[in-house]
Amino acid sequence: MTSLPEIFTIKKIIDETPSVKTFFIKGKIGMQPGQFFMVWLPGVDEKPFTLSYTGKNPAVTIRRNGKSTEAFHKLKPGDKIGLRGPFGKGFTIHKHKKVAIVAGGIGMIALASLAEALPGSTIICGAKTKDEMIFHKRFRMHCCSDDGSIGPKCFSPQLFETMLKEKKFDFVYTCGPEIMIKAMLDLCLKYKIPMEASLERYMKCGIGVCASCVCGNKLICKDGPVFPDKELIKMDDFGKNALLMSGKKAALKEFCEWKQE
Amino acid sequence: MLKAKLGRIQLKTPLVLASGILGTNAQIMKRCIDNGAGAVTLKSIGPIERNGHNNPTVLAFDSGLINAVGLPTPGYLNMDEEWEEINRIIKEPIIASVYGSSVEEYCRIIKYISKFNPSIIELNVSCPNKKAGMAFGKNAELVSELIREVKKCTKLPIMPKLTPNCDNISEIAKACEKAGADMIAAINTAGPGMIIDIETRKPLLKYKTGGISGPAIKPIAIRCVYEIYESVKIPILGIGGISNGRDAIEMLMAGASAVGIGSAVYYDNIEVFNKINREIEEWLKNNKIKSIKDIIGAAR
Ligand SMILES: Cc1cc2nc3c(=O)[nH]c(=O)nc-3n(C[C@H](O)[C@H](O)[C@H](O)COP(=O)(O)OP(=O)(O)OC[C@H]3O[C@@H](n4cnc5c(N)ncnc54)[C@H](O)[C@@H]3O)c2cc1C
Ligand SMILES: Cc1cc2nc3c(=O)[nH]c(=O)nc-3n(C[C@H](O)[C@H](O)[C@H](O)COP(=O)(O)O)c2cc1C
Ligand code: FES
Repeated sequence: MTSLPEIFTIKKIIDETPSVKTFFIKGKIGMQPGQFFMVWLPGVDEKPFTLSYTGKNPAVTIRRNGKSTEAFHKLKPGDKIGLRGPFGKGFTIHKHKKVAIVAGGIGMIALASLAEALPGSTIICGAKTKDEMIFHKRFRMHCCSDDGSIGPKCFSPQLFETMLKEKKFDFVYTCGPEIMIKAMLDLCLKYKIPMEASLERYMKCGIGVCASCVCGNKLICKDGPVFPDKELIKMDDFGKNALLMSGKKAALKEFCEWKQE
Repeated sequence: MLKAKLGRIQLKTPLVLASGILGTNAQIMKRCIDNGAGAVTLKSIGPIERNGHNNPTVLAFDSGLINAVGLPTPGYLNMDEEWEEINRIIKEPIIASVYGSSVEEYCRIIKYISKFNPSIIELNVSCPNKKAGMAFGKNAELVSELIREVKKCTKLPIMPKLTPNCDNISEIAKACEKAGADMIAAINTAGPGMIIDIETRKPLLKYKTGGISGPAIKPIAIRCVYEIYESVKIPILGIGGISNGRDAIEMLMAGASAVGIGSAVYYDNIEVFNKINREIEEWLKNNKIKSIKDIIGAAR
């Protein structure tokens, strides 16, 4: 049971937005939608990312967010990265249900492979501005933005609630900032629609031993990162706390603003 | 049948969660207890907040784990709330692991955390991931002085955790006992080791080297515990490479009074404690042995 990185060569790089790039890699890599890999940038760091494209033409899509993602953005075709995984529990695939996929910001990256596995699903995606919207050319989606530059000026949970007036959904998948996921959970409980969400915490091992990723009594890397509504409501730290790299418990806001030096 | 004792500390099962595995918050440690751990150890607590090394920090190779987490810690002053939660929800014994780079640092931390009344204070004098820490564990005089001073700071039982990376573990254990240690934990990770990725021609760990744990080190751990058992009377918490019931029994026979479980969590998740408990129980039944204590040190 090894879990050492497998080395892949970058084939092609695409600018998705001013701060997001997609790195296509040579080779074939599979995973269940919602699972993730620890991606190694030799000599720099190793961080959790999902595959935005899977199978014969796989890719990771990375938002510039700090020191190592900046280093990722400097990569060129021909450079090598390592992938360790796939890890964690992905989304439950409901093929024959009317499903909604609701994303906030880069949450759409984690939902992209799901959207591919569930053609015909209703996709709702919110971003700060039109420039920041990802994958709106790849998928048919209902967009909204903070400044109204694309779609209505609102957050994706609000757009979802408006759409509920005309459409019925049997299942909802969501990923985005945790406050947005919390808003989605509240809405789904209110309208009695079962749902699953993908969460983020600081990850070191990715294999369920270091517990830097704890949320309540769950390990995000092993028990998650995808959790159903029934578990989310029982997770004490959900929407509230996360451990920093040191293991110190911090309010979610502090965790999100934290940068590695 | 599975009841065990570590000195005067009663354990409902002989399995103890080892330090640095899962011990970051009260709720995940509670989950270990609910899944069959008899006691849990917190991730080693240090003097000030520290991030540890960058990733990759923990990797699984063919026969174990290699890690260079680098002693991340919230710092002992940043854990009051967690301690309250621990004492509120965990009823089984808690072991507080502590590290420092000087006698004074160990004492300061131990004085402070003693007010939360953990069952045992474990002295991590053996971590290979930070150069300063290990000096104590390799030197009988230094570790004796540390224990004598620490004993003055607390009434709680003191358990130094020894490194296998020395050539005189029984001498170190004797020095610990003489200085007043109440029990001994052995072993911490072995090595350090290194894994090189041949495609990129680079060491995989960001820190380059890391401590080895899991099945690869079991024979080393068994030998260390056997030698310590021969040289001291105080009880031993045997740690290193234990992943099933037969391993645990082997460790008890080497002389351990209780058995630490770390890397095995990687192979069998948190349910590993119940799994090992069942396997121990089955073996004891098949061999008509009534109690754990009847096999402690049986190999001697
Ligand atoms: C399961 C999972 C899947 C993810 N998938 C993607 C993806 O497909 N695309 C994408 O762009 N981003 C993804 N992320 C987020 C991504 O891992 C972080 O943006 C990245 O690690 C930031 O690293 P940095 O060095 O640039 O920033 P830093 O300066 O280190 O930190 C910036 C912020 O990123 C977060 N972060 C940093 N390191 C980690 C870590 N090791 N684990 C978790 N969060 C961290 C922290 O909240 C921090 O506030 C995912 C996160 C998780 C947990
Ligand atoms: C990821 C990881 C982190 C660890 N952190 C600590 C630590 O903080 N303090 C400590 O005393 N030992 C630490 N250890 C060592 C373990 O407690 C244990 O002694 C060692 O892993 C051998 O046991 P095992 O083979 O059952 O894992 C760590 C081990 C691992 C794998
Ligand atoms: S990242 Fe180590 S347990 Fe989840």
